[in-house]
Amino acid sequence: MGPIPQYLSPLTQTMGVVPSGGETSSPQVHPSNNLKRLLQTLGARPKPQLLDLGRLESHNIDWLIHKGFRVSVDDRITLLTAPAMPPLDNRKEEKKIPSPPSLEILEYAASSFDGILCWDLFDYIVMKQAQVLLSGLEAILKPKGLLLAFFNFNRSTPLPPIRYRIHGEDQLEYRPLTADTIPRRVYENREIQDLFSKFKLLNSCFLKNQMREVLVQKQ
Amino acid sequence: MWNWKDEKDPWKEETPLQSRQPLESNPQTQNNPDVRRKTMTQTAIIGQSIHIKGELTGNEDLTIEGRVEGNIELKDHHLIIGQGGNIKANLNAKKITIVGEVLGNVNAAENVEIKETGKLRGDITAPRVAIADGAFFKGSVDMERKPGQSKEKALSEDNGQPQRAERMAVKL
Repeated sequence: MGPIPQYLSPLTQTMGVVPSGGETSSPQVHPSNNLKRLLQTLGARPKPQLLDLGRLESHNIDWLIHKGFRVSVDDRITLLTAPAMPPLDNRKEEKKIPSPPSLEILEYAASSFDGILCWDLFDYIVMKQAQVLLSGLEAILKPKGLLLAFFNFNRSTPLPPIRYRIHGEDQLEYRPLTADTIPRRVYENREIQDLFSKFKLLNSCFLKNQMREVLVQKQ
Repeated sequence: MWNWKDEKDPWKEETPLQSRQPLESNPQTQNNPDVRRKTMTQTAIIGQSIHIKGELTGNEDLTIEGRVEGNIELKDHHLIIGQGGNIKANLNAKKITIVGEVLGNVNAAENVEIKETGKLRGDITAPRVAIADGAFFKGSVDMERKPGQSKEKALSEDNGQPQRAERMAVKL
């Protein structure tokens, strides 16, 4: 056995782990044509590599692995939604918001992944950070690689953090967590377009639950 | 470096299992503290105040509550990283249960389980993986590759690319 790889940096911070059993009793299932399209497109490739940046959901890992995907997990949302995060709802103060202390460095080789599941990761970071993150994600995607992201458009009610569970190829379960409501940023459509300007937009649809699904492809 | 491989294993010189007699009725083992200790506890424990640097190997189940840096290999046995365990090592065992923190790659012949308080930063290779809600995990999961086979070798067999061969850093 060799030494520990250098990319593994020490566990030095509080991980902001969601308490077990912290889900409310009302998970909702919604169709997701974009998830279906992503899975079907990537499923046609030999041993597709998938990076999941969402909340750790072992059911999803099992499900994806049994569908033939190779899965890497990098739970950015739990890190971002640690209690120390400053509020993001006041856009005027965006410049004053320091970089989240719990964010680390993305360390993957260029063109490593066929697909990336971002879930609603972008809702928890400011535009500038989103641009930097997306630039990094573009680099680690293989050519023609796909990226799926969700954006919350619900401005009236603060949403609890959501855990996404794959119910089927085109079915997603939204499981609200009972943890404290975490401030989210609500994007404008134009901002989303700008954010993904380097990508080819495959589909963008607005769901009944006020979420926008965006599926893009690296050009 | 503390290498358990170099230590004398009292089991190796023992009689085969079939010929073993109960401790109480075997006068040869009654006064042997090593054998008595082995018989009384099936799982060895590395306590909270213990800090080990080096290669740790063994032929029995092991619970680690302390700190270990290096490599841990328990080929046919169960390795438990307890709640107080803080490991910076690659782990190799038949079964691995993580309740504490691990930084390193984890290979298990049977299964890997990360409990709700467990934190793992490293790649998992095992035919079965269970991750509890609330656990932290960052790395890849490979349920196909045989434990012990290196990622580089497996990827080259697949004509794939190592995921982190060249590091790319994006500071957020």
